Amino acid sequence: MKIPRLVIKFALGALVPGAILLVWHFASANSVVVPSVGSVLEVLAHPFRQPTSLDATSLASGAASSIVRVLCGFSLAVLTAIPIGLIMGRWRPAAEALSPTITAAMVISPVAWMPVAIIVFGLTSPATVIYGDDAWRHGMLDGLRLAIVVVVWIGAFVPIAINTASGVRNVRESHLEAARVLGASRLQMLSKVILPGAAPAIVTGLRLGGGIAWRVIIVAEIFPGTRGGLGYMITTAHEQASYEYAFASIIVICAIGLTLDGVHRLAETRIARWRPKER
Amino acid sequence: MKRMLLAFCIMSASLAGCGDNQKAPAKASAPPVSLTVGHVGHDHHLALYVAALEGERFKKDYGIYLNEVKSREVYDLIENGKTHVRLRLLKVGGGSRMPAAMSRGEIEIGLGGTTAIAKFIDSGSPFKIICPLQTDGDMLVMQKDSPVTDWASFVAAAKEGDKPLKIGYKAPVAVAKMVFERALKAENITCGYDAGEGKSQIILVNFGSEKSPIPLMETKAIDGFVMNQPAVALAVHKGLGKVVSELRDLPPKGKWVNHPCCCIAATTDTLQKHPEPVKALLKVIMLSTQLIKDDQHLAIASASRWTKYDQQVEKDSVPTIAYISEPTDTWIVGMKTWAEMMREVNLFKGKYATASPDEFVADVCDLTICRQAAGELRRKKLLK
Repeated sequence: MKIPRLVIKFALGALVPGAILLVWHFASANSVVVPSVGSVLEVLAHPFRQPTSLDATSLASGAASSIVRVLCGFSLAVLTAIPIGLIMGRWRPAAEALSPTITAAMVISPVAWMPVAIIVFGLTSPATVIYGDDAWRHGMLDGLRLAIVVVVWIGAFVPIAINTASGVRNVRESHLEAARVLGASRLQMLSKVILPGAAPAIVTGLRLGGGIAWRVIIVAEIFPGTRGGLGYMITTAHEQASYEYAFASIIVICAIGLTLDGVHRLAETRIARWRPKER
Repeated sequence: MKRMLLAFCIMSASLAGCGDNQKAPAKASAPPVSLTVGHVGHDHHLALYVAALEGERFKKDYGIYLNEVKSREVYDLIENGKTHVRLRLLKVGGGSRMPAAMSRGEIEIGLGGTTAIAKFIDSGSPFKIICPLQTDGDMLVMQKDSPVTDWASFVAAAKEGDKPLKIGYKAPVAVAKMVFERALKAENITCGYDAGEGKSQIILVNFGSEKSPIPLMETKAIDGFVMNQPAVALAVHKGLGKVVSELRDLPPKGKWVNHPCCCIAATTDTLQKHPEPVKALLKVIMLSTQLIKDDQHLAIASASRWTKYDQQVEKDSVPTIAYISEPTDTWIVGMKTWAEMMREVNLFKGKYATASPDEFVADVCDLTICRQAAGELRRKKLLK
């Protein structure tokens, strides 16, 4: 009997997590630190329940807070990094002016910007800007501390800008030449030739940037005054030795990461489907 | 693709709005003054949490109380029907985090460690210590199976052991670490931070502000730790450690009894502009401290409700902390001891580097409002 390909793929993919689960199960047997698999599943099964042994919001609320913060920082990065990457890719003086700064930023961990962001932005959030002292009434907006969003933005910005610039630079000259000969306007060149040509590299940048944004948010959520978010939950669970919440948060982060990666892969496949496959 | 992204955004935004069992924000009109109060979130700051949780009791018994506007976050401070101030409570973290947040202007009033606050004031931060919160509550904990049972056997193990003992601490300016280091010096025990140097009898291991020593204890990466409650009670509750000595009992004999730990500080700007709201807050803290002393069951239950630590942990923790809200003579002496010690270990590099202990206390504290608040409460026979 032939085993379907999908089953084989799933079984192979489940090998490492299965092994981790097994090690975890045995490690938790004689430990007061490592929580049992059951206690973590219990937390995951009730995502909307307020933690009883942890000063934090519910798992679902924390996950949503983190997602929204990442989405804001990441969206800012997309809106700024892609145009800058396009300019760097097409206009040499811009590349020469910006490359050293972006390359330098690449080697600095985004988390290292946290103290700077805290000094610059303090507790400022969209809610404090709009509503002032009544910011607390707008929990969602108030949780969007600019310091956190900016650090996520820095993390995602660099790979997106670098990949966009590289993608634009690698658009085939023959394609540009052909478009020019056919009388394409600047806008048409950009929308019909440059952007589609650079799209696979841009999507790779988005994938990398998304991954970094997630890694950054977990650390950034130890920001003073934060009461929600998966990063906050992990830190607080460590402080209060309620490790089942830390493990549950890690699993949720993995699930969100896998989902996002799947979305990016799908986008990559769709965007690059016009490209001839290498033989 | 677009639809997927849109659905994702909507899902995230709607999820963030739910899952909280907290009360919806009340639509009360805002008082004229609004102050942000930073705290750490553990039971050293129980006076604030009892006041926040027991608003109704305070209203009935004292006429001055915190009226909950948003649970754990926003409270109106009301005295005899007059709303003094809207307080926003902000968990900012321990060690230097609270005074750092205050120096950045993020909070106006802060509850935190005396030594960390003094260090910030020394380097020019414009705030004052306005009220003590508690003393003691710091302990030396060793592995449960360690042969060390008390301070004398700890000294013997450090001096005669084959290997140096590894003792964890949470922050370089943490009260517990400073007391412990000085006690080691008094016993002529050498300590260092590098396990490789081979000269020290004690290796001090920094496990990071407010991080739990529990994993390091379980993996036996450390032989013990010095820290404040409730971390001590938690390690005992988890079956990993045992209390060897309260730091108040360490040598030099009597020096650390009632050592000042946490206190309340406020920016000088706040003290000048809003003395009445600050006084009202101190009144609530004083009454709350009195309630903690009078009703230990309520104190333990409130500590567990706010910090979310197990009630058994708080049962072990709360009775070991001496809650105070007025500057006693021993507290003042303790402050002078800090001044001497911080200068000796070069923690003061600013205005207190050459100041005498008396000059230090006179400058670092502004206890005027605290004394006024206590006087007014006593005149009304609300405070013993």
